[in-house]
Amino acid sequence: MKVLIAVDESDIAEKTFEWYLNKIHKPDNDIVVSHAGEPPHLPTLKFMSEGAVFPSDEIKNIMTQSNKKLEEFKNKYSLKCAEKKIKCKLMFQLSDKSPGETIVKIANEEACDVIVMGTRGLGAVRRTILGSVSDYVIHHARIPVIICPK
Amino acid sequence: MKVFIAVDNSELAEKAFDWYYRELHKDGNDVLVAHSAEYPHIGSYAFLGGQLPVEEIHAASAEATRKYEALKEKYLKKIEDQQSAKIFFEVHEKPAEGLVKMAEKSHCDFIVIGSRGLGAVRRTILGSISDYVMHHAKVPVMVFHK
Repeated sequence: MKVLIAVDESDIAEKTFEWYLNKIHKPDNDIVVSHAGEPPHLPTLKFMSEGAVFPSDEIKNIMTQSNKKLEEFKNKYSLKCAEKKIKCKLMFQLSDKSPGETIVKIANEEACDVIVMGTRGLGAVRRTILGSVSDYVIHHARIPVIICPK
Repeated sequence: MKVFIAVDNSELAEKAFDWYYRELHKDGNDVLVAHSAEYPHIGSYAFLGGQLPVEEIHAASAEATRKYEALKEKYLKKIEDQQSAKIFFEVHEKPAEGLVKMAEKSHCDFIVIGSRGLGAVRRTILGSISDYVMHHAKVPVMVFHK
């Protein structure tokens, strides 16, 4: 069985990942860990005393930082899998598409049989019990979805 | 791990049950096959005319009992060969709330539920009961749809 575990930088995602490995995982399950982060906001023009300047240095810094963070985050999960001696495919990317769409897309492309994710992530709207991403995935995935609360 | 599989008379519930055993079940998991039955509905029209619609009440009650027992039989048969599976059927006024109460009472670690059951509103992708359970459960919930 192929399992897609969708994570973000939240504690819930980490707990969900651990829970899956400890309680659900079977040795012949294949695992794909995916992350669809938001690309950083890039400044377009900088107004300086000499007039508008294209802030290429700043942009380069922001992109480097962002890629570095992504790489570190990916390594975190790579290590978790290595510790448990589990082989997994890591698909960590930054995308303009909504995370929900990306998760469903990856599930289709990778022919996964089940999706595992947290109820909520780092989203700003804390009033809701069910985050918008998990809500989207439940409504659009055509395979079973396991939703893990806090 | 204690697994709570919510079932009703629908085909999807049976598929979810079968899929759980085929793909997720591990030796050592205790399974509860749960059903939260509703009180039989008696149309309010039956109460017009001032008299208690005794016949309707008896008929509705008998039908509900028949369905309840048939569902129980069906799943008792399915879990015959499983050592650590039990039937957990209760009657509650509101099935969704009932399921959540039963799940908490059972101290289960994981809930399996079909996305839709026999509900009338077929336009919705997610049935009202699975929606409710997902929002109120304090343990991971697997919503099954295929």
